[in-house]
Amino acid sequence: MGTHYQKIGIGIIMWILISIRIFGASINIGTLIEKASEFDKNTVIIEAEAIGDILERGEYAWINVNDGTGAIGIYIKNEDIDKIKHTGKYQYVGDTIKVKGTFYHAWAEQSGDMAIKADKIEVIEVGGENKQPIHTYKWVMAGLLLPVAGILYGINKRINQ
Amino acid sequence: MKKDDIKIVSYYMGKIVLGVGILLIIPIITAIIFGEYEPFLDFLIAESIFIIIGSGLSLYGKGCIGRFRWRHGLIISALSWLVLMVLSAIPYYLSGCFGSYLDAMFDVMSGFTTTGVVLIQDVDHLSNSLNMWRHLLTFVGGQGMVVLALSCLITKGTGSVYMYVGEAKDEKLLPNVTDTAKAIWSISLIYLIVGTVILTCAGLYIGLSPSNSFLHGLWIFMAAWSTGGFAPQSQNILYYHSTIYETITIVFLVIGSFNFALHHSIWKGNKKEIYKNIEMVSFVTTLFITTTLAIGWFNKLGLYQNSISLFSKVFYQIVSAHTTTGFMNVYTSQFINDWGSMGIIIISIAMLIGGSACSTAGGIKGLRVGVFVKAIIQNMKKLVSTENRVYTEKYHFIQQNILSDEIIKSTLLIIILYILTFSIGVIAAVYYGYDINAAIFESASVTGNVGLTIGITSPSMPTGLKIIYIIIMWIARLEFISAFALIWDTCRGVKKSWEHITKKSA
Repeated sequence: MGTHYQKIGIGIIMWILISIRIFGASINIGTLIEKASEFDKNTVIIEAEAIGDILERGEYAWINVNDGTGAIGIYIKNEDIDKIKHTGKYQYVGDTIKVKGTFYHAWAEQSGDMAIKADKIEVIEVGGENKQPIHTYKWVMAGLLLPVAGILYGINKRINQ
Repeated sequence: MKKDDIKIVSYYMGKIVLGVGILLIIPIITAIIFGEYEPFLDFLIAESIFIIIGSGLSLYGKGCIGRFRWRHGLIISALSWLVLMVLSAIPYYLSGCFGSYLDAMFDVMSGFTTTGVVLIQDVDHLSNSLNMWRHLLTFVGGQGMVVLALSCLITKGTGSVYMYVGEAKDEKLLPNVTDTAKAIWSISLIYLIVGTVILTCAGLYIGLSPSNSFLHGLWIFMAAWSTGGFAPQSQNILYYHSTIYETITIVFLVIGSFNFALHHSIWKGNKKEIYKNIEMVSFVTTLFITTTLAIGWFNKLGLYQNSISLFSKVFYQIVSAHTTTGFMNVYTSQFINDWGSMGIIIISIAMLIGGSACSTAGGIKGLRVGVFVKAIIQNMKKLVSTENRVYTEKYHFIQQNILSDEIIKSTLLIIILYILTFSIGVIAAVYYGYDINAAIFESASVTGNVGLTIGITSPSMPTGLKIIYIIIMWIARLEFISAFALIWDTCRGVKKSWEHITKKSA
């Protein structure tokens, strides 16, 4: 029995180690930016929300990602763009993507940008619309204040005339 | 302050509040176009409060026109900025993107003073209407709120001159101040159209969607021209990953930092002014020195390996600092980690020098630096000359001017006040436990109304430091005089009230 559990335990540890070896443990963007010189030209893995526009530049494109600790530009092949269906903006949550690539502290080919050149990207959580209900108190406030403003403005204008 | 004085101040402040309130129509329209219903309500509430306060102040002060004095003009200018800070923060706070009302007011003051440091959270998910308001505030702040009110709501009169000067603008482009205010707005609006078109085209070229190309083009122009430094994305200019886009912004932020009198003079056909003007000579010289030093330093560090990287990261940041814009294409932590102490000193000097007088820029200003250098030369000549000779130093600023003792005295006074304010900012940050290098950098940025940050300015910074930075931004932007007039009057008022209370109780 003991040997059986031992085998399962070893199996789990092996699976974790292999996973780390293949996929690597992800790092947050804030740490990458803060310790940029340590990670320079190393392979890194990040998980973050795609934000803004996808900026196509010939065979490659720039996509910016934000994981809450910071935002960074990812240089990806054009063929990978289609994987990202949603990007974060007002009332929209972008797809959360896992990026494996080379981190550059000051990428000479990209005007010295701090950025990541992606080798592999995958969408790990699909984003989409994130509309929040409008607060009722705002309707009430606008409904009360607007007529008062109109009356005062009218009086002010009449006196000025 | 007597009741009549309060009425005069109240009347004109009401007009200024109403004038700035008109601007809220723009984000309201933006919210309608993009179907942003909650921000629409936020702006509607804010508009109502602007009208109520503006009309109320104007009605209270009605009938007290004609006895306008210098003191009124200075107090109106200084107080308007504070009142507008409180009112303009309403849509910010209602948006839910700020940790507190103080944070919202901090960002408004940062926008008005064209500083550009922010406490706003989750910039990447902001509504278009809120972004419109943010950039509009910095655009209007660059020209001046009083200038706006003068050009559309306040009619001609002696009071206009006092308020105009109170907002740290003393150049008269035209004989009449109201016409001068209109000329300033005309210049800015023409550039706004040209700049937006160019940046929209650039945006399309670098891959922005058509609607974002236009919106980003408009906002980035507003931030560049007003030397404000705001941007619609959290990565600021780095978001675009484009040297072309950066280069275009350099052109506009440099032009934006020029004196409106210089713009007007060139528009009138006097193109030679650009070579002779003391501010231009001063700006080019100090920019050359700081850039050379910075590039030399980075060559030693070896971080940026080619000239494009040096241009994009080092030259761009130096220009951004020198024009007091604050656009960033590097991360805040890079200033500490990559630029090092020497880099921080160079960029801090550039931030403190700043742009031109009577422009959208902050800092000590090129004119004063030029006059200061000329004064040193004059004194050195006097020292080495024979006793009988009289030296008269001149400087060119729209016309030939004699360097009088009065000019030297006022120049030195402002420079000393800037350095004092900067020192207070440094001491405050060090008191709150920040590193001295970081404190110097951030204080130079706030005093110069620049907007570059080394990381001190964040929602988690101490409340006391937030208040100190708000005061520094405000005082430095108004170039001390009107702010001091308001503080002096408030202190006198408090003293009198105290005396009155103690007399009564006795």
